[in-house]
Amino acid sequence: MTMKKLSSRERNERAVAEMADTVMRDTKWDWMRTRRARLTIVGVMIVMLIAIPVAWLTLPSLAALGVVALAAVVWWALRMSVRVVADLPDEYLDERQARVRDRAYLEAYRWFASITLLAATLTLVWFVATSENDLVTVDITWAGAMAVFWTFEGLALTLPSIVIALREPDRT
Amino acid sequence: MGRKPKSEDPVFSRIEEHRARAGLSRQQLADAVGVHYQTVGYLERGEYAPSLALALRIAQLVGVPVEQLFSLTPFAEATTDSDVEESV
Repeated sequence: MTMKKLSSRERNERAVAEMADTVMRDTKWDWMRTRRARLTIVGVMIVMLIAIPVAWLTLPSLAALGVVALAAVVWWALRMSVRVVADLPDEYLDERQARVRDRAYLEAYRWFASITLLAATLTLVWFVATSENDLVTVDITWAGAMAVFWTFEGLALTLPSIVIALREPDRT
Repeated sequence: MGRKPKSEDPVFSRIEEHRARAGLSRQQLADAVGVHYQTVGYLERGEYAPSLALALRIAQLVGVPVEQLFSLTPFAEATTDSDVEESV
């Protein structure tokens, strides 16, 4: 009997299904799912979100990438502490988990919108204060561009899981 | 006068009692109705109000009418099995 060769999309879907099943049933990481552990992970994640742009602005690129790699590990712990509920597709969540995820995204969007609005407002104020003839010329280095990129990328990737980690009660 | 938030309406449940009577663990009930075992815990503690479809699936699995599993008012205490049967 010949085995049907799976397409890359089917292989990817199977991998996601296996990952989802594993993370929903595992008890190995239950120690990360207590309220105290989640608060600790969220605290470390926020520290890393601040450390990443600072690292890009103050350290050599390779060292800054190391900080990004460390943040990725903390992000993995954050996602595991909430059983990846914020990031799984609909078909791997039950109705309660989908509701938790949807509420988390609503709240995360509000936070992200507030932060973005604040940044945009500060930029506008800075422009008005420093412009000559409605013109400001800015020199941005690679490090500066990376600092901005990773700030917003980090927030977009982590906020939903941070909201779930802060809001969910102490149940594993 | 504004609408009262839905989250303030508690839903009382007797899932744990009927699940135990059916000889099912939380994991077994969860697998049978297609939810995570944690969700069964939330349902049993009245911390989550299920959808109609989920409520009906649980009721069908444990073999009781859905109104015997969920209520908007606290269930009366049943002291004996015969009391429970009489209330059917």
